[in-house]
Amino acid sequence: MEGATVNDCVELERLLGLAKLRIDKEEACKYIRDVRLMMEDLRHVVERYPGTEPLYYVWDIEEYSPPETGEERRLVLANLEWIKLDEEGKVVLPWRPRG
Amino acid sequence: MVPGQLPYWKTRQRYLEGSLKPSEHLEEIFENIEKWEPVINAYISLRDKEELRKASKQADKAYMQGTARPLEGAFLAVKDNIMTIELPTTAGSLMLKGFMPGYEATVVKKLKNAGAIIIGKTNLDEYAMGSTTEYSAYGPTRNPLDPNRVPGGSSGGSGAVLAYGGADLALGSDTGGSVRLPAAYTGTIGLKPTYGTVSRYGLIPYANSLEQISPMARDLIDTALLFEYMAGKDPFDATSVDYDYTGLSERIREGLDPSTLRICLPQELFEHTDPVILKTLDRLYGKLESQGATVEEIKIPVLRHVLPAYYTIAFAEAASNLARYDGSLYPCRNQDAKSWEDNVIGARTSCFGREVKRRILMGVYVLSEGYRDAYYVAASKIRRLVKEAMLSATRHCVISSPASPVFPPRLSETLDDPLKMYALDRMTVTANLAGIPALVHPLAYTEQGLPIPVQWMAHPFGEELLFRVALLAEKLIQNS
Repeated sequence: MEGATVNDCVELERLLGLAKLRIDKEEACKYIRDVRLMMEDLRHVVERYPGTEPLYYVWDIEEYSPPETGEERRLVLANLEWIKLDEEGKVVLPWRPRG
Repeated sequence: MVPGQLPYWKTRQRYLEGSLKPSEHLEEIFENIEKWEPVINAYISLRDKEELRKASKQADKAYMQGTARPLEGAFLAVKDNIMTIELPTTAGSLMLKGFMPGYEATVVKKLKNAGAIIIGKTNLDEYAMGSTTEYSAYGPTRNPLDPNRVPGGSSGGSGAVLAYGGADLALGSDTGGSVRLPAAYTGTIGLKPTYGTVSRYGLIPYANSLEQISPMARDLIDTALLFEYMAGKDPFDATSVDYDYTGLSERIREGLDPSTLRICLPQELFEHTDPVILKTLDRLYGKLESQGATVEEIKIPVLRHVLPAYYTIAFAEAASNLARYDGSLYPCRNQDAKSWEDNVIGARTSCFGREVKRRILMGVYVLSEGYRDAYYVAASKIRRLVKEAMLSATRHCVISSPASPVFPPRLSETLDDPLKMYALDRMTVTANLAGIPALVHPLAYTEQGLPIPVQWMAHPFGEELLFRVALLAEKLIQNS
């Protein structure tokens, strides 16, 4: 998979069929090769962090909605030590004083 | 920003004092548009002048009667991938040429209810896929600060109209830096809000898990004001969250004691940056330190890999989202098609532009059997690492970095080298991967009149902190 290969252009035919597109093939071959080389980096990085689960959304919907009461809001923000909340869960000091 | 442009909140003060009427201000905006648009090409469509004059007279009346709403008489430019019922929504694509949506975006509705008047739809890279606003089917937008340079993208039209005074406030969308890069290049302000705080209902989707409709304005107070009226839970967007930002634009004026502030500088986000930008940032950090703030360099090694992770995820979501354009439901069709397949391929080939086709192709690639684990799943794992690292870092400090590694490229400079264009997003994509808020604003200008911006990032829902820090930074730099 390293470097520019004929494989990228062979792949292109298959991808165009799936994507239902026609495109300048010479340009597309080069593009696929360049981007694939950029993405190769990902595999090597992930190997350094075994057991990491993929993240498809930045947070679970259940985790964040709807923090309507003070207590719910407090739970949502529980891991953010900078945020200070009043009894109703309103932010009163969004930064942490030093020391 | 072109000198002499007032922010909306100052214009509103004049409305309230009676020294200016919205209908008079509208004529000033028309003059700016007539002067600049033939060169800049920031608007794809504009509302009928008489229609706007009528709406502005209503705003005049509201100020005279004392019933003006918070955004009464604010002329709002809307990026053309956000649905409006007054004007077509093209997403900068031939695929949607003349497309009139049957409903409007929740954000648009909310801003209209707060008194904003939509003036026109702004240019963008097709489907928001680009960083320069050159990949629009309606021609490139130029930067008002130097028309030989790009305004950034994909919300380049919104940045440009604010910069030359063609609107008071603007909406963009930010998937990987698409309001922050235009803000950085046009000397305006762009906020990428916490994921979920602003409804995406009515935003033509590109990469759902990354993008947010985002406010742009000419100063920080305006940006906070616009955001305040955009944010909120929407039953039409299941990913939206309820968080109360009421009074944000007032509260941030209270300022911030610099001695309470801790700023972290991830070294990975400073690499390969123009020395002129670095010098100005150094000056800012020195000023903050001299006022008692703690400024520390930190290392977050995973940030070296955000660009491939971001693009892999964005490609995948783009390919999935754009599968709906099959030549049947939307304006572009292949009239001479001999079969269904022929129609689909013909419409997609003739109506999608070069960059959109490339991203769809790569999206299909990274999702196809044999490559999904190697690329898409790997990218999603890196996303988790990035999110965890950023949540951990923003628990202790505000993150600061350059907004772009370079000054705005010249027109066509990155057009034939997509990877060079992707690299412009190196500092901005992290916030989208992690879902955290990020704010970009200008600190100073070069002798050539190009802005030198800074980016701030904070914990989820930390927009208030960002604005307070930015106002402090602005003050310190201006007084130095």
